[in-house]
Amino acid sequence: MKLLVCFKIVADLDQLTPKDYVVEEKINIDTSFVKTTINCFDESGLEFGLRLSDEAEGLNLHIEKSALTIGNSQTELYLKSLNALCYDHTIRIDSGDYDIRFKPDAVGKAIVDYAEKNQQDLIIMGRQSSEGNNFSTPQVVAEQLGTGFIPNVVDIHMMDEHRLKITTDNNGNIYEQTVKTPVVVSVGNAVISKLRVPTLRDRMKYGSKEIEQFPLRLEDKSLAGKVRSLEYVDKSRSGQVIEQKGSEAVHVLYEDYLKRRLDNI
Amino acid sequence: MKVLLVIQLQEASGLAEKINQYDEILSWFPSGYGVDCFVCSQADISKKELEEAFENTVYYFRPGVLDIRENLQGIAHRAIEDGYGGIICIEDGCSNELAVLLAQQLKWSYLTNVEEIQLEEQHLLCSKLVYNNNVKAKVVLPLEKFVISMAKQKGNQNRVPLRRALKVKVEKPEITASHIESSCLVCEKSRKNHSHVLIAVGRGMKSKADVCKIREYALKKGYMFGVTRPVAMNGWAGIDEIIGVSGSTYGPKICVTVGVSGSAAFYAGIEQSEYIVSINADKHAPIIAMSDVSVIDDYENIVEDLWKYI
Repeated sequence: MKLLVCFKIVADLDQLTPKDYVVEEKINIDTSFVKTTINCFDESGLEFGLRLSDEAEGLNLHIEKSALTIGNSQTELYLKSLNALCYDHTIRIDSGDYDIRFKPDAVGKAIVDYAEKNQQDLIIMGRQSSEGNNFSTPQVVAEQLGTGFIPNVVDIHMMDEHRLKITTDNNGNIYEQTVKTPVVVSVGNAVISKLRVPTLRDRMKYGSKEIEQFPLRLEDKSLAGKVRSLEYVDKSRSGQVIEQKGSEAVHVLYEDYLKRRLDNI
Repeated sequence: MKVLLVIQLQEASGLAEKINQYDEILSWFPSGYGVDCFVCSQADISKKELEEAFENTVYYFRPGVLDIRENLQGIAHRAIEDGYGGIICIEDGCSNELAVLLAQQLKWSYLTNVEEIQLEEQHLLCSKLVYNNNVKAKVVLPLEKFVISMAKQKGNQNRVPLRRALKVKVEKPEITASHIESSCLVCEKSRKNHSHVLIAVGRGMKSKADVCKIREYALKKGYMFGVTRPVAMNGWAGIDEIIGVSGSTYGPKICVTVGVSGSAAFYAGIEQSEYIVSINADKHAPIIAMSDVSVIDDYENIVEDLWKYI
């Protein structure tokens, strides 16, 4: 079975303060000074890839695992880690100066281009990422490849070479489905969220393994809506702080702020 | 021009929850627009229920299997056949997925997670939240050939509708080969109790035992309980307990947050609260500014005493 996991490297937006949200030229917000991380839904996807590979071994099957990202050269650090975690292929599509934040069509097309040249049985993708909140790329890929599509995936297990047991969360209802490949799955709030850490030995062993490069083919026409403006949303309330601590603070909180409200409930 | 409003329902009782958003969407389109409904549900919904819930024409589509592609075929077929110029999917577990698949198939423009739509002379101007819900984006779509999925509904007021649809048509799904061999419901959605008080805990909690203790207290009192995403991802709470963009949204009279830092993605789940009280050891945590009142202290020094009062 050939498996492709697509992931995105994103800025940790929790590190930004309200003052950092300055909308610059080209409707950009500078996040270059905060640390980056693997998009949380994609991180689950990458770990699913490794776990499926472990399960396949137990079934005497082999999974050829690939991990692909679209981004600048900074993403190679993450791809090296994935090499050390024994992904068979790590691929970077260089986005250069092209702004992919609100371009799920372009991102999807780039993945489709790769998957058409390198046929896959299973493509795992996170359902959304923080910046663009597009919620679109897995569907674009599935539709353009003409494969099956499973949304809101929370767990995946190997059944045999052509079938998977997939658990989905459909608005709170949990379903178990037997799904035939080829298929694209979109990972939501998954049961596993952390990607394992490679050993130092594997880092040394696979550190120099090649990261494959794949070209980004840009198209003029996009179906995705065009962003006209961005504006920071101020969510602040009165923000009163009780000066006391411990039991005394609780007493003040109750007497001065909560008692009347609780009485009215 | 005609707009087709898609409502996916898991159960007949979910109909009432969709009415607010339906009403809001109706109010955005002037009377010249015909807004019809396409209800997809495996549940048994009576003609009378559908008539009383919506206006104009209602299509009732009952898919055979739980495969998003079956709904997709049904909606795309109806949109083309009856000349609809736009499709709006009301928020549901799969509305974003459905909208993008529809747009790709019809080659129409699309946008997901939309909060509001304004009609301009040449365009639709849609608002949506981006950057983890910290930033509002205004996005342009054409006036015709668009597919939109709406963001999670805020608040929980359910109004009893008083209207009568002109006609209800039952749509039959086409039987198509599915890549899903079998599908089985293994766990039904837990019924969340509705209370005026919500207690939310975050990654400031020191142990799973502490999370369990607060959950136990909340449930004993009949209060609603939830956690931030990192708490659930840590295995300290269930995924169905997540509050925020990737979980549930609440609008209680009082919301008490304990050890919550206050990411915007979490805050989306509590922002409809009338009054927010926060307990946090870090006076610089973003949640302090987003609360009405806060106690800056270790939660262990506070919660036991606080439970005596609320």
